[in-house]
Amino acid sequence: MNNILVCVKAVPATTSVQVDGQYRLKREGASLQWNIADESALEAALSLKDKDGTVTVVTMGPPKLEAPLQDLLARGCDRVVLITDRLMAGADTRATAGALRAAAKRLGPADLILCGRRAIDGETGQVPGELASALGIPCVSNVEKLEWEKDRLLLHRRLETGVEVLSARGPLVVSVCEYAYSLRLPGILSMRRARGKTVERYSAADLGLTAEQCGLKGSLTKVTAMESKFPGLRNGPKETDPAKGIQALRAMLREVQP
Amino acid sequence: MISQNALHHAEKCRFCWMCRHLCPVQHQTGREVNTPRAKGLLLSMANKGTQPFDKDMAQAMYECLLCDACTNDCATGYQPPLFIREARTEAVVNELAPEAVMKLIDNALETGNIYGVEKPSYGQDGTDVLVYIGEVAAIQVPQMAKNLLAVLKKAGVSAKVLANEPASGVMLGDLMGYTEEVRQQAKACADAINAAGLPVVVLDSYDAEIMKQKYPEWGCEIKTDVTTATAYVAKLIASGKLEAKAGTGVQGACHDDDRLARTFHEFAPIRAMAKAAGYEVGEMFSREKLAKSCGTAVAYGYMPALVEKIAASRWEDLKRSGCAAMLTASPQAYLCLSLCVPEGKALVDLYAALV
Amino acid sequence: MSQEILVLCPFGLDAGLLSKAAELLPGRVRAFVPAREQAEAALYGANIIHTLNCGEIVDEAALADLLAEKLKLWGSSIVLAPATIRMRNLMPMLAWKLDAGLTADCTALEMAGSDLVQTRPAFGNSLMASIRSLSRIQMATVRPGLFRPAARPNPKAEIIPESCHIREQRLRHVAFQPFSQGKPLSQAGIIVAGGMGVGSKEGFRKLSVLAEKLGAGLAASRSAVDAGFAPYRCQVGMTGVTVCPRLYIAVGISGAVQHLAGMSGSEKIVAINSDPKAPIFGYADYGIVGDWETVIDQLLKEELS
Repeated sequence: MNNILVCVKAVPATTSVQVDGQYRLKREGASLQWNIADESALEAALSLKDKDGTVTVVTMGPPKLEAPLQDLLARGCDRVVLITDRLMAGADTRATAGALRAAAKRLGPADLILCGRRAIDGETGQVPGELASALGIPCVSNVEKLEWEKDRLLLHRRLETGVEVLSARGPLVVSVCEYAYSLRLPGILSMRRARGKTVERYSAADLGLTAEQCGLKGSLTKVTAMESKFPGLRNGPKETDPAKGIQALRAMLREVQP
Repeated sequence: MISQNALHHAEKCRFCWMCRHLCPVQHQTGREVNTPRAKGLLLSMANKGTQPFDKDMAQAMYECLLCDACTNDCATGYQPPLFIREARTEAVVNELAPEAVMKLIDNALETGNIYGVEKPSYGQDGTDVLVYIGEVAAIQVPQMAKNLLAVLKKAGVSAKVLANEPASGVMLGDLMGYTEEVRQQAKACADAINAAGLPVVVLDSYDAEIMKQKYPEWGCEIKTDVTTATAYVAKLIASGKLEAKAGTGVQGACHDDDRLARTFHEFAPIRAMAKAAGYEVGEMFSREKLAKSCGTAVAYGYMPALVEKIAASRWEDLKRSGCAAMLTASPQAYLCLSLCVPEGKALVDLYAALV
Repeated sequence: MSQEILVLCPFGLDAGLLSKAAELLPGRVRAFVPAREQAEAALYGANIIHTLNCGEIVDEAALADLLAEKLKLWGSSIVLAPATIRMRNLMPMLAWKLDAGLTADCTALEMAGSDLVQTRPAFGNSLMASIRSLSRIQMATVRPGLFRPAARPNPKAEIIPESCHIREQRLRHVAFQPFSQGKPLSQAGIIVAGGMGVGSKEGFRKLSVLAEKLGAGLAASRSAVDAGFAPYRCQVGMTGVTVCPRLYIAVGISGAVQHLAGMSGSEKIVAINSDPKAPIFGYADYGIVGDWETVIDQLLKEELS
């Protein structure tokens, strides 16, 4: 029996972002969706579960995530947990990893913890490593394929120059690449099974966390300034005669070609 | 469980009533419950708990062709088929779907097609294109499948047809919404097509729609180009590979298949085919983007009498146009229109006309 | 307390990053590099060089454990590493052990008193955030290859050999399959990118032939990837790769913000689009208004002749 814990994050579905007075992303009002790499991690977990095991999902965010979490039950997850508390607002990756560690401890031992390799809003990709370190277990990042090989996991990790294949023994944290797996839809049977199941809620107090360990207060990095940096206009000349255009492009290619 | 997105679409109706004038089902039944806005209202009431989601409500959700005419004309920009599909999922999950519907679903899950019979084999193993026939043409309109293959042969195209062609998932998707079971069918189909490695020509626009719209979203995209058979044949005509025929002097009107028209905005190819087949091309009302559905194979499977009425109403449109022939290249349209061909009018399979 | 920067490059030296560290705190730079790169580390400004002499390290967590112990002895106040995939995995583990704040993938660094001000893009490139660490040790990963290496020869650099004994094999190396296409997109000098305007997989095959002829990378906009014209690994933009080649040729790309976020750092941008009003022209150094296929066919013809 393999217990898999998947940590997911909801990110704004929009591409236009606003920040508040403390340079935190404004999340109210914006419609949320699961981070794309996290969907990949969810499907990786569900595919492993197809053979054997259970899948528990944990996320940290506002109460309105209950409905999308319920939807994950319909897709075949066994248990879904929402960490939600005003104290948690503004958490950096460290405070987030701290909250996830506390939740993981409370949920009981997991053989495998899966995360997306990065979130499209923060793009730090640091939570998996910090969480692994907090739990004292290894972390393998950027994985695009996971499969059981007897009692070990075979991991295909995408590096800059190629794919490294690793064999791992749990417990460990694995971060999964976006688009590596595409999340299944709710199925008729899993929807029937999910009827009556509910979202479990944890507050900071439930996890034994104090205000100092949470959110903005529990963070070790501070954003001190933020500016909008829209790509600069270059407004180069526009050529309508293809022959002339190709000539100019040729010249530019010659400049950069070795 | 209805998704937030679907509820959003269901609840934003402004009661402008315009969809009542377009819904081909409501036109025939005259029942208020058959309008798209009524379905939205019902779902919204079920969500609020003021009306139970019961067998009657489920029945209402199935009295719809998913033709998307309502979306096309919705003043608020909402998409009734989106929540109607989810309502069908809800109905199946809670075992409230009509029996006739459940029969088709069971067939599709067990045998891969709603008819529960084996698909014929074509023994074609060409190298230029893979022709995806689809279960409706294969089982219900077999001559159209053969005619398409003959047209391709005539144009010098070497075509392959998959032995044991898997279901595309479109029938199951219409019957019970887009669930994991449908995605699994889609994946198996995409795998089989990708293994062939040839560009795909899809006879049934319903299959083409799900392949092009849903497969990429579901992580099972087809790696080669997917073209509707009509667009492909029109290209063969344009490039001179398929010779045009002499004029017949007959005036025919093209029936725009609703998914071809509204999903792909594809209107020109069948008109080009009609011309090449020697017809003088006339026009009916409710064409192109406003295409009126004449029924679907799935709906015919569980409510044949109503579909026959809907098809008959399309023939009325033809009569009003003054044309003598109804021209179609859609197996599903052919199936429905063939139920009630009026005297003095002809139903023409454009592929047959081009052989 | 005196300040010191530790530049961590156990899997390969980033000479530009080392030069930058030497510029930020001249004379107070410690480097941790593979033994084979000792000379290079001395050339680019390291004062103390720890040379790692051991086989392939598979388990980054084990190396993080080792480094956490070492750092207690060294007392470095700033820890920098190139934001490669392996270092972006190792640094968070180290940061947790050191109770240090960590900023990912910075694009600029400067000192403000004893504070390291770390600048990084957020939400694609549409926002730039300046970040300070609140912890005693300040840590950041820096986009690889961002700073130009500047030689600061340091022949008197102190060399300290280090070894690494990894006790238990929680992770085992099984195989390595190198990418056939060589360099990753993020390091390509020239990129040929296609958008919806390219219209089909067939069109992308043409672009890929051109890219191969030019020794360029092939990229795509998100909508082209969504439409199935090109695989995801080609996607440039907010949900794909960020690139900064010397020449970016945008073919049939309209110029959505998400895409601009991923390529606006390119040295030169050429846009080819039939719509003269396409936003991409505003962000290009040179635009060709016309049918992309005519232009590409002509280029291919010239390349072949």
